[in-house]
Amino acid sequence: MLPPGALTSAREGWIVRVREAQKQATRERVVAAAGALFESVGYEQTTIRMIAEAAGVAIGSVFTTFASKAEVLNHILLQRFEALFEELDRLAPHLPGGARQRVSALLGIAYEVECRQLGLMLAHLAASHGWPAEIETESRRRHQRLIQLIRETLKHGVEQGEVRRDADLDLYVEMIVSVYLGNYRTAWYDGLDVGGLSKLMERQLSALFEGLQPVNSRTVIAEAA
Amino acid sequence: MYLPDDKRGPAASVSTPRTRRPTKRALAKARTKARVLDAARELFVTRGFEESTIRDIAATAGLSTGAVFGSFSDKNQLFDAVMMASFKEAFEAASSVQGHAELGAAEALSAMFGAAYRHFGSQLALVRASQAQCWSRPECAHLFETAVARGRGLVELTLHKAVKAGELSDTLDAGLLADMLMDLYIANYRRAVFDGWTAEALEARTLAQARALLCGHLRR
Repeated sequence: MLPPGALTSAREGWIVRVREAQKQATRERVVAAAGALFESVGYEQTTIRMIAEAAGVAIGSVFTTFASKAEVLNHILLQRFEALFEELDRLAPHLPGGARQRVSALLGIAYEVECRQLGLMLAHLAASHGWPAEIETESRRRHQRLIQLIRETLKHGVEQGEVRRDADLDLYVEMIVSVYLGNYRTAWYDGLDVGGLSKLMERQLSALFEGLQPVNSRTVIAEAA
Repeated sequence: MYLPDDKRGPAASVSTPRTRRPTKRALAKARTKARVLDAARELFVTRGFEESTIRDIAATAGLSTGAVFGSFSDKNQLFDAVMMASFKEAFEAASSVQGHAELGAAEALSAMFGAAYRHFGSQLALVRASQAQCWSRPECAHLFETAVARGRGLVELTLHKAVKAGELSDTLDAGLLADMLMDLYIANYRRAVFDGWTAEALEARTLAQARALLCGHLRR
């Protein structure tokens, strides 16, 4: 014997689950359609209407899952960053060479992963100046992982005596990340590919690491010259 | 440059027929254009690019929308003109402090960047809009890159001077360092936009960055 009302509550539960599943399916379709449009048409040129049409859902359905176009992009970027960091975390412990070579390798991997969908990365950069403060906060939290990875590599370099002990590591890490991100603009404008980007970053890191060398090794070089 | 009527003899207009003096109509058109630009900049800065319509701009300038379209074909073209005028002013502000030869390279660079930060400090909405616009419109990107290249030239010149003065090593790659300094200068705007940093705080940051970048390239 079922208690009274059990059937209706079970039925309600089922309806809720179906609705949740439908919502999830809509969300996935919206994300896939938006990702393809940002990549091919560009972020600025893509409208919510275009996303809805490509996803085969009503415009209203897009808004029930995401508050704005910036939020859709943010969601896509979150997924992409997860993929990037899985790759970086997997490879980081096995990278050979000194601090400079390892930072260079890390950023080379980042370029490799991001350039698979350069359009999306450019969409991210285009949107990043106009998006609201809360999305900026989330974006910074994502970049924090990259910052942490580079910082650990430099710290290891200090321990190994390759990087001077009194260097302001936070300042250098921030500079490295700014230059890394700035290169996407160069890539877009000058048509650089992954190889070109990595080579450019290598030269930039050489210039930056000049200032990170321990002072005694600099004098040794100067005396030798 | 337009000379007043009484400064131009009839001979001038005869000998240089191509630079015929502007008609009253042309002068009025130039004045209208300047008024449109002023009004557009005011609105883009206070209200934002997306939020400002041609109708608003015309109303602020005290003109008809038709008069605005007489000078600019659309809002994008108007934006580009406003952006270029503002970038030119920033460049002039940076150039004017560039001559202080007694400063070290890092100090001279941060003084230049500081002048630009002060110029754009009250126009952050324009900076944000220019970033969004130049990623989506190639013609805007081209103008932006041209402006960046001019600033970069100033930075490179400062580095070359420091090499000549014996402060920096002559083995440094001035072009590469100038590009990096421009990247850092542009990236720092995020601090102003999202963290409310003042021009002074940004200038102090660029000084630290320039020192960190150049300390490995000092002549030893």
